[in-house]
Amino acid sequence: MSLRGGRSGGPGRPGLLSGLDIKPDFTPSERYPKLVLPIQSTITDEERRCVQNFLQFQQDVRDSAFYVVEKKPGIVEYEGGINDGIKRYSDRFLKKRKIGKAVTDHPYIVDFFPQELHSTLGVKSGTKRKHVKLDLAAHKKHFLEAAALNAAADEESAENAAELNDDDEEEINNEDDIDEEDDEKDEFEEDEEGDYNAEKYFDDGEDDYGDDGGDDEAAY
Amino acid sequence: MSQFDAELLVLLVRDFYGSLASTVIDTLLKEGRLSLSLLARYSSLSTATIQRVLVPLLQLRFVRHSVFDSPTTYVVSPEHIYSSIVRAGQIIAYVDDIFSEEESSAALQVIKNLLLYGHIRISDYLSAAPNPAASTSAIATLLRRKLLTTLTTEEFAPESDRVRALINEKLASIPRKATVSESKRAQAAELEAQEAWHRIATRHDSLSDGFLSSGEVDTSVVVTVNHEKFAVLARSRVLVDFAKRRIGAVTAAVYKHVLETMEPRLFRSDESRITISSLEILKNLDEDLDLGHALAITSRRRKRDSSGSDSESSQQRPHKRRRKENDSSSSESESDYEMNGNNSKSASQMEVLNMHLALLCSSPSLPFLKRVGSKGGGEYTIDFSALMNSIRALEYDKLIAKRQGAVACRLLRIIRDKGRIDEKQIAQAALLPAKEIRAHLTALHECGGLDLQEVPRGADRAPSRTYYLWHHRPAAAHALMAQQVIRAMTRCYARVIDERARRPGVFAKIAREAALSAAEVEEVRKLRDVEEKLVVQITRLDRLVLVFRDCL
Repeated sequence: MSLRGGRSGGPGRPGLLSGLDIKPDFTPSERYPKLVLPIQSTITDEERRCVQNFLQFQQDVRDSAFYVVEKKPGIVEYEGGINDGIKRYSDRFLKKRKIGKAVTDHPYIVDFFPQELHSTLGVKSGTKRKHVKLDLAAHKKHFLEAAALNAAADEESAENAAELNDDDEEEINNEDDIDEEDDEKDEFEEDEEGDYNAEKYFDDGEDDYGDDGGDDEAAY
Repeated sequence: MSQFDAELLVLLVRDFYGSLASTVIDTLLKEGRLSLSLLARYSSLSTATIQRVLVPLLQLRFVRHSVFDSPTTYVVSPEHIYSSIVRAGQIIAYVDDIFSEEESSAALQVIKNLLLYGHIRISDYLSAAPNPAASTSAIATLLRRKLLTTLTTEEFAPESDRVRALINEKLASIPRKATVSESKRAQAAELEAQEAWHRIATRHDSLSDGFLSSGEVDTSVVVTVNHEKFAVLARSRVLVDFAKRRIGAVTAAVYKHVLETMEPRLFRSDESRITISSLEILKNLDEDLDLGHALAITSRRRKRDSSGSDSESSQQRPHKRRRKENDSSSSESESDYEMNGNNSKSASQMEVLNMHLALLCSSPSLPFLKRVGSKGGGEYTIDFSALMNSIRALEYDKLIAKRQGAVACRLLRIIRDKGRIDEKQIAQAALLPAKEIRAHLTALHECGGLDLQEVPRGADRAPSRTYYLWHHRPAAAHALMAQQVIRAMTRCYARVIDERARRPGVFAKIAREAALSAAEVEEVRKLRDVEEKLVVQITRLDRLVLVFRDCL
């Protein structure tokens, strides 16, 4: 028996560690060891407000002229789409973003920018920059969306729970209806146009019928 | 500027301002100061595109341009990007809080547009605003409270450049003499430049900044959001939170009022030493606040309360004790009470207030307040740097206890207390076997909480004849912790983006504001929940960044 622990050890050189009181563990470690994750404490109303403001701010920035994209202004881009210039049916379901807001559409204070960027700001040498009106952001979308979702949830819960204050609800619903009607109108208008286009370009195969028949006859 | 800072900023800018902007920021962060042509080369974008991207980035002051170099070079301002994006939600919520309901919509519009567009000339804003009168008053209030600040051309140059230019200017103004050495001349120039820089840095602090001499808002000035002031306000919230947890809700409310009273004179978080008196604090104190309710006032004291005697505690003021012993004076003040009920009521209010203030002064390890004099019923100040040091240490302990267990936290506290200390001595102090604490010490060393110093006993530096002294360097440890917090924020935000990407259809539909089916509504709700949780986490982590990095 050698001091090194013999040759009949396993792979490697087990003798190396024989002098120490450490017993190596050769079992493979778990790929995803269990972690005890901390649980988030409840969100306060103030924090909720901060989050809403944050997300809305993000939406505002994305809709503003400062969200710079490669394309030239005037092109319609679909958020999340492929955007290679080919129209697709699936683009109907994506948000349209008209790249109409060029970077120059803002009343910049030209003195604050270095000379080499003046041409980008729309300043031509020797002439005064034409007056551009500031485009104030609307800051509406996110809240409306949250309100709509909440309203839907409230309606569900209200229907399930009690129907005591029907009158009040009706009033609220009436108000909602007005908004909805507006929305529907818009949708119909869009749809009509879409239908019109569909009629115009719909190909019912009438023209091809004769040709098909001809081919058939030739075959038999 | 660490790797994690850069990652977070690039991620945020990509999600907010698009990938082109993030490419430019990324290149500038990696390569440092660059001119337009070099920027084009390193980022592999065309010069025209970069120019188009630089315009909004300069408008938002995310990138500053050096006026002293030729050709112009561009430098990122990381702190500004961080506070304008991460703290946007909090800034808007704060402005919403301080205005009454009818005023808040105009003020919110102002602050949101300023966050969106970086800076705006007031006249431009008013010509576009739907309600110019309300907007003007909102801007005036915001300017007066220093939540907005005016901007000049110099503030578009990087700070380091401006300081350097100032030093050069001062150096040129000091003539070379044979009797004065060159290093002394440089030193004198630097000192002068420092003074001049202080004047420049504080020149927007004047209350009339942005106003005409008639007291109306000067519509020709350019305004922007004052992030320094918002950091001060965020710090106040952290302090009040601590006071609430340490002492109690009512005392915290008093402390909040103290900070609010000081607020108009606090412009940035590195300033301190503002003295206010109890009288000033009492003047605008919320009357609904039941000060006495939170304190156990002894019956003797209560008797003194009703007799309307003065405010100081009996230990501090011997002459008060004398008066109490003297019956006649007591009856005298009782008659005072009958004569002027209102006055004596405020006197007793003052006494209770001073007890709360004494509570805030009481802890030497967490000095919320410091009593510096007795004018006006007692003068108080806050030593913000000492207080923030204590708070940083407490927050650090809390994080270590969460991550490495209570034992590690205890060891850290022992080491912090003793300075440099040997493993054996730690074992003695902690009442634990040396074998057990070794693993904890190594783990603390790994995360940057502890450092090890070798002190050899002999010239041969043999390990067996060497002292190993553990010690804690707060500044380094806290900076490392700030980095880890920022990394956690990056992960949170990456997860937000990922969660959105997992639900492409629904997200597109929300963006389009289309009608959703019930299942989709459920899906949206889930997404919103996840988003909310993650963004709240980012907000909470931002509080730690404020403590560890921004309020030094």
